[in-house]
Amino acid sequence: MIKEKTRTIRILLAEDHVLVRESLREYLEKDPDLEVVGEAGDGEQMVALAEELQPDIIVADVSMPKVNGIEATKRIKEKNINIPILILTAYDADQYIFSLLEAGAAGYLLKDISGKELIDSIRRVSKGDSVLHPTVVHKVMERFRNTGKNQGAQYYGLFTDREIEALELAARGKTNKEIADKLGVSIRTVEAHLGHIFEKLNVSSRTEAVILALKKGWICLD
Amino acid sequence: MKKKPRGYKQKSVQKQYFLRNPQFWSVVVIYILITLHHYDNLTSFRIMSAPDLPLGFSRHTIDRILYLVPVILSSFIFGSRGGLIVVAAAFVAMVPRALFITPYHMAALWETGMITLISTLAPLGLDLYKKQEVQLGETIEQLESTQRELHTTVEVSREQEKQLAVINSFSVMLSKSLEFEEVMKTTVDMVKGIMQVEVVLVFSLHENLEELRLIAYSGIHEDSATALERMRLGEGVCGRVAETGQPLMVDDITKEPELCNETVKDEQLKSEISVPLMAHGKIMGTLCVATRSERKLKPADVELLRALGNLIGVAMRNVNLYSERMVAAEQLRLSEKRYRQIFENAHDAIWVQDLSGTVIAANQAAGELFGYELHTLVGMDSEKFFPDKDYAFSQAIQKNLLNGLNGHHSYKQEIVREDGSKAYVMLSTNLVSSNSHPDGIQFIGRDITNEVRMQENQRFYLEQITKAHEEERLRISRDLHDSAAQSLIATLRSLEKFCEEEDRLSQRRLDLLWIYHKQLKGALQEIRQVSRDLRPSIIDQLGLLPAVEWLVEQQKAEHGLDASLSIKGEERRFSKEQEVTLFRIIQEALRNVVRHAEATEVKVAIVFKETDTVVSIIDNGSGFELPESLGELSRLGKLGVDGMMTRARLVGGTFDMQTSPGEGTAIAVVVPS
Repeated sequence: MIKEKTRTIRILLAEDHVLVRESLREYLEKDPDLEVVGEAGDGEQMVALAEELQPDIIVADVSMPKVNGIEATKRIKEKNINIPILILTAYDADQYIFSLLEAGAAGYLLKDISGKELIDSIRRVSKGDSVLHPTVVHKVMERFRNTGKNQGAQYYGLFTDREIEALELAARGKTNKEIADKLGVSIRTVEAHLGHIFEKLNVSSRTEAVILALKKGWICLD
Repeated sequence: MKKKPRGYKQKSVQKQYFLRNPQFWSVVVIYILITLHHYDNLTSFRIMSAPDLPLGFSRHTIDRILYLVPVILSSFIFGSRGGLIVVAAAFVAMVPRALFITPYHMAALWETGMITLISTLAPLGLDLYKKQEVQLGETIEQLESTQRELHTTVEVSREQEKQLAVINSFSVMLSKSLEFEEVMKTTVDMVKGIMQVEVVLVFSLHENLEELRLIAYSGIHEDSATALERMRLGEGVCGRVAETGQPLMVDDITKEPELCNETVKDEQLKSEISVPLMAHGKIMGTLCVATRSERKLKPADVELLRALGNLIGVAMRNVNLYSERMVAAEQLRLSEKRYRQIFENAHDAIWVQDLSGTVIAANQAAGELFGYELHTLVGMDSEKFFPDKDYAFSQAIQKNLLNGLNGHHSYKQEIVREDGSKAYVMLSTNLVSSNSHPDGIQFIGRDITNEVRMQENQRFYLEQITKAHEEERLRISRDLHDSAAQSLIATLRSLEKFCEEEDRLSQRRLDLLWIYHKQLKGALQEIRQVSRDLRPSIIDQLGLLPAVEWLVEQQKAEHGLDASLSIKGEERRFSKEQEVTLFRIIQEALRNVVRHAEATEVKVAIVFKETDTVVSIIDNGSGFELPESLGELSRLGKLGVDGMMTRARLVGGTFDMQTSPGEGTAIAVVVPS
């Protein structure tokens, strides 16, 4: 009870390999701030448990029986369940990254990532920060910029100028601190701006927000 | 100037004429005698004594009356002028007696005057009478000549009528029969009768051979006929006529050595007429008549013969046309019979549909193919045996045919038999048209159900093998990924956790453990590589397009190939098997490009269309000589291509390859959506 009060991050693990799942859970629960609240063995279960448990974050494998991780992510986003999802994948092929980001994942991690990095990523995502590597971010921008049919579309009335500025910097892969420095505000203000944006866009991560904004043509990276 | 001598000459001629004319002298003598008698008391010439005359007339009154005789005579002979001259002479003779001799002057003068008056009237009256006589004669003559003319005209028209009747009966005869021999035999006999000649010959002209052939004759010996059987153009009378097209008439042929040949001599022919046989301005042959006695030939004879010749010419042409038509009809009948035999006995099913799709003819094999009695099949709507989708296809082909496009020479078609079972036929269609107007469509169909079944079996077998192959790869790939790789991951995590939590180990040992950790990670990478090569999980996780995109990028990264991918149309998903199959085709094509083509550029395109999807891989490499049939590729060791073809068939698609040395290679796979 005490733990929960001190901002425990509630995690849903979706991984079909029991062995891997167990080792992951064991590893994550070493951290007092993290709590694995549910374990799913396939995509369908993942969607059901996400709805039921409303965790703070979902860590999901791509390859799972019945419904794979990317498809499950898509379904969760379609249900308007605002939970950031971190995808664990064995492959770093661009197509995976594009697909999972398009599906609405907050970020992805290679499966052979170290435990420490995993925990770090979970924390960052739950704070609304990005976990994508800058080079990946660049590729993602390239990819989604081109799909924006209405470049320079009007965002007025939806965002404040400050919010758009923050979003644009986020799209360039800047961390909250870097954005704060650039805008000359505190990190908390940046977090607040992004939080407002997430709310307005009904997304749960900056990655989702950036991709959506790029797709809509609200922000431009040239 | 000229008139005078001529006038003088005429007068002297007249004088001579009068002097020699005894009638003139008889008038003169009568006049003198009367005058002598009138002056009897002076001349003592008295023919009669004075009789008792009534009305107090004297003997001289008689004399005076007698003067009328020469007057009338002269008027008769020389006309009124002659009569008047004599009147004047009589007057001159009578006046002296009346004035000087007679005691009754008044009576004598009165008598003289009366006689002169009467005798003056006499020649005039006589002249009038004579004139009337002449006019009458002329009128009669005119009437006579008119009568003669009329007679001639009647004669001529009778002659013409006769000719016309002859020509008419002749033409009736010619039109009655089309039996050539019969026509010609009757022809010569009729001509012989009409022209009243002894010999009649009919020749036909063979233009390309430039010779005349005797086709009918009458009045000559058989040997002569044999001798005349063939004649060169220009030879003899007939040869000339055939050459010039003008009739030729010879009164005595023996006097014309150029025209006279042995046969003419043998047959002792004299007069000859030959006319061309004309039909529509074309010389068909010649008609020749001849007599043995010399006969003065009339132009009318030539004209008649010419008319007959024209009739024979036309008849001959008709006969030719008729026989040609008969031959053609016979050929048509034979070919129709032959075709019908082929049609009826053909092993292949043959049927004809009208443009609305109703069967209008079918053979036994067609009946057997569809399982209907022939009489049921004929009249049936083809919709009944073409399934819906194939019916539309068949309609499209028919439309193409009607539009003059002949895209499909033969094509496979599914049919529904009478019992509802399905069969396959290889169909070829042809437009049936008459007068360039399409009447219907002929179908020739070969039952290929067994072949199709075998093919299907084979295809099914291949599909199973390929599937099994794919499944096996997937299984191994999954096994590696799911068990070996996952175990390694779990082990790695445990090791990590151990290393982080264990603080009793020396740093050296800990470092060693981290090295093992790294090695395990390397092994994990290798396993993933193998697994990915066996079956890229991307195709399972993300589908065809990301997988192809990944594949294309890999070619760029690993082989330095300028590879590009273009996607057009609205993206469509296929079944997992189909997607994997298409992916494998593209993978194989790209592998060939890398291994064999020596290409620097390759373009992969996926075009989603409404009814199908076209996948094409085009490189700018060396290309190769394409065998006649793509099926031969496997024999040539190009198993990769064979595999692509098989795979294309597995997804119900078609595979096409275009290449030639130095021109690069293009592969196109079309998959129905």
